Amino acid sequence: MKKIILLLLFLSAKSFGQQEYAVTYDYKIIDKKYGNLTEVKTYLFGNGKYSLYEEDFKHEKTSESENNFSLKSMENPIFFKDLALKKTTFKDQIRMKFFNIKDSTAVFDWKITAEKKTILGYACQKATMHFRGRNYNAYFTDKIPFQDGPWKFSGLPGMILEIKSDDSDMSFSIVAEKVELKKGTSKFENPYLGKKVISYVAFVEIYNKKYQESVANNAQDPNIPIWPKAHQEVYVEN
Amino acid sequence: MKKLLFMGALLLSATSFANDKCEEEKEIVEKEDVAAYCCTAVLRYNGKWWDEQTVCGGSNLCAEAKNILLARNKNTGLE
Repeated sequence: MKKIILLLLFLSAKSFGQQEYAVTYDYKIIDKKYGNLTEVKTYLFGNGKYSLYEEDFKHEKTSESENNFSLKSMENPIFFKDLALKKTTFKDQIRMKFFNIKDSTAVFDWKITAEKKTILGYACQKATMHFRGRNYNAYFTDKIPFQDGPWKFSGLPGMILEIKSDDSDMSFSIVAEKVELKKGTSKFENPYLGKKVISYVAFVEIYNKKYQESVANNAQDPNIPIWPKAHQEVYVEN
Repeated sequence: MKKLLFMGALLLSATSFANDKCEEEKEIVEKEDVAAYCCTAVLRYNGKWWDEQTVCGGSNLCAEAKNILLARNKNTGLE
């Protein structure tokens, strides 16, 4: 009898697979200096060990005007997280030179507060942190027991359903719109496996060199703009 | 005598405040004048700043700024 129960348990575990999650977020970037809003949907898929996060810039909505416009996206940014190793690998570019970059997600200094609110029916708790030049306010839920979230964010005792940063220059807001939990057997493969990967520090060094070049070029010709020191992360320290 | 000194100090500080205020107002007006005759066009890629161009003076400033930007970035193959 015991053997039959064990066999049934094994079969049911095999047919149901592992717990997986799919979260759809609304991602808004407001560039206050130029009064521009960019809005995209982003998608997080994972199983608690690995996750993939895609920002759908191919279908971005922007507040395009006569002086604010965008180049067509060639490919959507994809972030692969190894949650156990606390590593994220992603692709970014500097003037269309693309780099595969490995970054650590063990660097988030979260402070959990007592503040609570409900998002999509999930009881969430507020956490804050300062990361690479910006202050963030996040809401996570331990009702989805995976330490994951959008973009590079992770490391809270539950799923991040909302994260925002707002200062005088830029505003970033990533808010969950839909959560799906299911049993599955999806494979979360690292799309950067076997490719040349550089460290985040190396990427920032390259950006800094290019930034200094833009400063020198601007000194020669004021029509050539100086590159920004930051986007979501500060690349060039003062 | 004390009263005279006090009056003098008051008059000086009031004049200096009025001058500061006047300078401040002048500065604001100058900034507005410059802003009114300039247009900065901004190009983005995947939500990030890519390039920008400011054109001042003349007509169709924004269109001109946009054309310069597109010409400068025509080899990106993204248009």
